[in-house]
Amino acid sequence: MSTAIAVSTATHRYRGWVVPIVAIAVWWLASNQGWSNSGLLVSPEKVAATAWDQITSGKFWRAISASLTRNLSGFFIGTTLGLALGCLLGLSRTFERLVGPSFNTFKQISLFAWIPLISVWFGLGDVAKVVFLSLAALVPVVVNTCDGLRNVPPNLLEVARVYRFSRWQTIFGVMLPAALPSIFTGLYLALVYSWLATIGAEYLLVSGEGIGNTLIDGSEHFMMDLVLFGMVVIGLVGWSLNALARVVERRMQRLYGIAPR
Amino acid sequence: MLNNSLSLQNISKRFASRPGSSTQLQVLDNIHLDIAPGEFISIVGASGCGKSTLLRLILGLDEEYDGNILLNGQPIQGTGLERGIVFQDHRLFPWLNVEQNVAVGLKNSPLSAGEKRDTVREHIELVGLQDFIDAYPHQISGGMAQRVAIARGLVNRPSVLLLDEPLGALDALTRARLQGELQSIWAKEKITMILVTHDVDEAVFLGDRVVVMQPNPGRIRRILDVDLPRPRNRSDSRFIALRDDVLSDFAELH
Amino acid sequence: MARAQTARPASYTAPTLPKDNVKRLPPAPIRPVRKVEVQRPSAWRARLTANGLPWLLPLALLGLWYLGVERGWLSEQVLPPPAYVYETLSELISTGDLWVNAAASLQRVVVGFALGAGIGVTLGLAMGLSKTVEDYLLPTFNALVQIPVLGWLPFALLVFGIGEPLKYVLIAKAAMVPITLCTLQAFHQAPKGLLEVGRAYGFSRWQSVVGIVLPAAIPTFFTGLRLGFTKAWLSLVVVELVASSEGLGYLIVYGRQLFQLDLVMAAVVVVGAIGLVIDRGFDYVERRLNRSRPSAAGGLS
Repeated sequence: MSTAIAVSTATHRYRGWVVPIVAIAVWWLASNQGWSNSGLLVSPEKVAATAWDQITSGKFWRAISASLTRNLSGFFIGTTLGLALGCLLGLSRTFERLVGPSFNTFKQISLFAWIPLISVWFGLGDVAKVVFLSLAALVPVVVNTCDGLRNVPPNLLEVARVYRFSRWQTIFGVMLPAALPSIFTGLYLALVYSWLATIGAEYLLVSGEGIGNTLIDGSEHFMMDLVLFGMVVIGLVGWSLNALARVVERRMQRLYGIAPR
Repeated sequence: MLNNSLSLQNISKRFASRPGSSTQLQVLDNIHLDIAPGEFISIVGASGCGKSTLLRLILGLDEEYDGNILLNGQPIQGTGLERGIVFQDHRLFPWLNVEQNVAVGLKNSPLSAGEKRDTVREHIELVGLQDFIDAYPHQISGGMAQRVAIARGLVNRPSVLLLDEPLGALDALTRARLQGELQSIWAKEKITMILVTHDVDEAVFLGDRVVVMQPNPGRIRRILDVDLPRPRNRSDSRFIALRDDVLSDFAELH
Repeated sequence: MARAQTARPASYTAPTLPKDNVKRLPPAPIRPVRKVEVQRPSAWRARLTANGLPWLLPLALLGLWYLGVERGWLSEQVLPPPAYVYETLSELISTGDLWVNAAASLQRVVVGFALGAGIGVTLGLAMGLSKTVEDYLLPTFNALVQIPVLGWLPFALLVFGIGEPLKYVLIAKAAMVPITLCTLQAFHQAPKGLLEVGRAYGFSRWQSVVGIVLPAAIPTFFTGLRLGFTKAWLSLVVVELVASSEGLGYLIVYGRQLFQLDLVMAAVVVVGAIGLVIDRGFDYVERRLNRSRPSAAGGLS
């Protein structure tokens, strides 16, 4: 339920702009007229100026590329391992009984609680962060892959038996295609969680560069403009992830006639 | 020419009514039926008479029973490509289009790729869906999906085609039309078909013989010979008389 | 005259039919009979393997851990012996430190959740009942939702400082989002069929809402509450890791800074345990709720 509900028709869409525009107007007035003495009340122009500076001086690009690289590495490692583990759990009863309960207990623990342990074992640098990100991506992939494989409609499995499918033919011809929507849900969640984990990791394992670091720096130096800029960036990344998911969802719908979520 | 006769001998099956309990349900009791090659057998009965179970035994999905099922004189073992089936829910793979779904039937067949393609096309034409060859299951209607299922059932030219209430999920108009199509497909392919249905009308319309089953335990009540020419006419007095005769069995059962 | 023969199956001969000149498949080759005398294991043995198997992996890991410490494969600071962790845990419990910190964490979660739920339900109700309100508020809400709680953290740090309000605000935000969305969705997914029945019987708007929409919305609403609480608990841990002077997250950070990994592990175990209890609790309530209603949408009684 982290996705937003779609807004209705065109005329109604104009209404949606009222609140943001009014809010920005009030903000501008407040900062201009000096309604508050706090150094925290930065004007919209200052935020825009900081944003411009960040982008043109290249600081923004360095930060975002550092974050995204780490994010994608963690995502790929976590997803690959997660798919393997999920398939094993989904396809083998014995494996599921051996490893399943332990994994279920493990995934209950707040992911972020592992960071201090990880920081002791792997240091504060990129390795620790990628390990943490892989973990964040791994969990939803395993859960959804295993779920998808275990919930293949038994009707279709009977069809495979009727046509004498071998075990491999059943796995690749029926179970994996039937589980694909679930697997994609898992991949989408992995993307979201690993992005959240990226930011969190940058707060807690402070060495290096990244968009999270930019934010925390801003807050430590009382630079509200930097903080606001960072927030907008994070929001945009989140939004593009959602947009990507919607594209994939529409593709799946065309293929399967069902939505993956 | 193979003598593709199917012979059911003393088939009995018991279910434990609850796992681990001692009371057992006699689902089928001493079923005995000989089916000639190319015959169309309709099996009618109310719910719970074991007709679908019988079909699953012939298909080989269920191997726990007493008695013998002989195809061509040899006992059957598990599933086999020589026994095809059309389920009530079409059970097409949602990620494959019509052509690929029919080709699923040939996955383990020894034909060459070219031969497979040709016979798939041939059977899609047989059910009249050549214009929808690239469509996906969710894009076609229920009746069309069921026709694809029939094509898939026939594509590897089985000795016996089993039909488990294939038209039960369709609306009455589509059902009537597909009954006609089934009749012409059968006449063309000359394949042994065993149809299980609760629709007496359908049973008499399609079958050479109608097997009436009764529940608790599942037994053959009687077998009727439908000695009417094809194509059958539902308004024919003889048809109506036969149908009423079969229906009378069910009225008695209350 | 149609002949309806009641014939005894055994003596009935099948009619002869035209030649079958289509090549048919011969029966499948007879596979070797797989009828093996299956020795049914006694009931208790089956139960033992079923219940015992899950413990194999944790016990093996525990064993490895113990060995690793004994043989000195890793220094004590990197991997404390299991005994230490157990000792630390019991110490925490006996000195009351655990309760103090756990209570602090739980109190934050409950207050934050209550705050977030209150705002969430109000927003959800407002947007659900009035299309106008939804048009004005939903787009802005959606945009703000794109920024995760973690994104709000530095902003909130600046505005609220490191005190309690920081935690309450962030946890409230985390809880509010799923609750608002689920409440709104419950309104959108109100069973149209039943609403039409209401209209046929002249229900006023108020009667429709209270009599039809709200009862039908309970499962979705509960899902929202559950999600909200889960997110609240997760956010609590993160916030405490970043900025707090007491609580379970604080224990973890404190232990880390002093390289007392046994403390860290003990705290992680407690965090996990509480999370598990919460999860089970919600499961139980959900099952109780679902017992009184038949499956799927539309069931009102």
